Amino acid sequence: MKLLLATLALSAPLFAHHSFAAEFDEKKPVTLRGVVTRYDWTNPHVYFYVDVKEAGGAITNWGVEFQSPSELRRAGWSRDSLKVGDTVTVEGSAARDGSKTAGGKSVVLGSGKRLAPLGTITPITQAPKPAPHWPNGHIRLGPEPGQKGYWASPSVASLVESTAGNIRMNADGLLTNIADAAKVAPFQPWAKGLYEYRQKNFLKDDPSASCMPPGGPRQFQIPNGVRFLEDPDRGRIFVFSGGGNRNWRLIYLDGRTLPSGDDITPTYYGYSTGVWQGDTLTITSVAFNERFWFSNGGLPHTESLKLTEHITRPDSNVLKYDVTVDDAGAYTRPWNSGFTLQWVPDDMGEYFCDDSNRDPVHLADHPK
Amino acid sequence: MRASTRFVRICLLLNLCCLLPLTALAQEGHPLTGSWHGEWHPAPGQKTPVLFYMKWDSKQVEGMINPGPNSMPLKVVNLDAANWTVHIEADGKDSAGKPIHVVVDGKLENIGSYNRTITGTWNQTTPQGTTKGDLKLTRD
Repeated sequence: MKLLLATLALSAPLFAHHSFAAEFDEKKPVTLRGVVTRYDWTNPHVYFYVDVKEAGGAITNWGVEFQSPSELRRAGWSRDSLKVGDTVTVEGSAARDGSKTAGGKSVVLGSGKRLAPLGTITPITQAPKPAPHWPNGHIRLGPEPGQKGYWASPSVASLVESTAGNIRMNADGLLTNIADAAKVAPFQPWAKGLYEYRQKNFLKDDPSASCMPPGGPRQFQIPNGVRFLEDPDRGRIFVFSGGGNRNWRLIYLDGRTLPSGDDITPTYYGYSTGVWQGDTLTITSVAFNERFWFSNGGLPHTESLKLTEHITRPDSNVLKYDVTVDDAGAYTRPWNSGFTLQWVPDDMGEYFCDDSNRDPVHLADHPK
Repeated sequence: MRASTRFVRICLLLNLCCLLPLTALAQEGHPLTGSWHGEWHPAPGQKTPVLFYMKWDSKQVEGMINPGPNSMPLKVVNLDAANWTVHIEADGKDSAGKPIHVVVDGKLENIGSYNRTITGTWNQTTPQGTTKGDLKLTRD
């Protein structure tokens, strides 16, 4: 089977549940040489701790934070890559809060072995074929029987209005130029102010850093991907999240109507109904709460948020996602955006954000 | 019970277990929406507790001061997102039934936090005159 390799090179590691820049300052590189005292192969981050001999002779124990086990495994790491007592040289970025914590970028063992460069994601895709179909004629959004696979590697970091032109941002949705904020979406003044505030603070207030579910389009933007589980007999589709806490969104295709008024209980994933129109699944969603960010980059929303999503599968390897954002509470008019996802013919790795989350204390009100 | 139905129910139960302990952690949306407790100081050494309730309705912020029998509906709420200053006006009656007009000017701080604050001044006018003091509100 012919394999196609695609590589996305990133200057900073892409962390699964918060912006790298929220916790670490890329402008403050650190090099740590010392002995490994502890190695935690845990979610949402792999940590190890190193005793480093300072210039004056004192020993300081540094914590080094990396990506999640599933991400590191793709880069060639394993739970045995490091052992207590190993001598290592670590390159990374210093924590913004001044703690003895570093965001790791590379590790060289005493033997000279260099662990695979971090921040490199290599999705493997099969040669494209026509999109598979169900017996009823609908496109399959998940794997064919006997196979496995999920969707990952979104083509954009964050939602941007489709007419906005090229707006540069990093993989977490941080704008290269904050002056571009007004082009991202038709914000109401308060929403633009809040978006800029979040950007200027490196997205440190991201609810995902506290492991809150990524509702809306953001579920399709998280590094660990999403998987569709279609249940046509019961008229519903589950969208399983590879990030967060392995939770999911439910889309009803059984003809029911959306809730309104007192029937609404706002939730992270809202209430979604879908209908197939040819090869396009159109999903309408309401009843979102305000406790999450619906896109990377910190776009605000209110409980008035209504999403109309169009999902198609042009071929076996590509999922096309388009969305209309209608939220009169935060935006001056409805606006459109979209991106594509790549098929990964593998199982999603286990990832529980809450497993050993040590980030919030470092993200809160760090000095700037 | 069919296996698939059982699977769905187990999934829903697990999802609830994941979400329930976390629901109090964050509140996003419009920065003024919510209940705000605090106090203002009519004179040195004196403090008067106050409660503001505000809600963004997509066009304006509605709400009241001190919800309950003697509540004062908010008449004006302006938020300047360029510098996060807040201007609030409300009319009501004091405990003696006399009209009272309140003007609050403050600055919204720590905006990314659930427990963000408004720090500023409380200026109230009654038939007896005008009283001004410091005010601090913290979002519940």
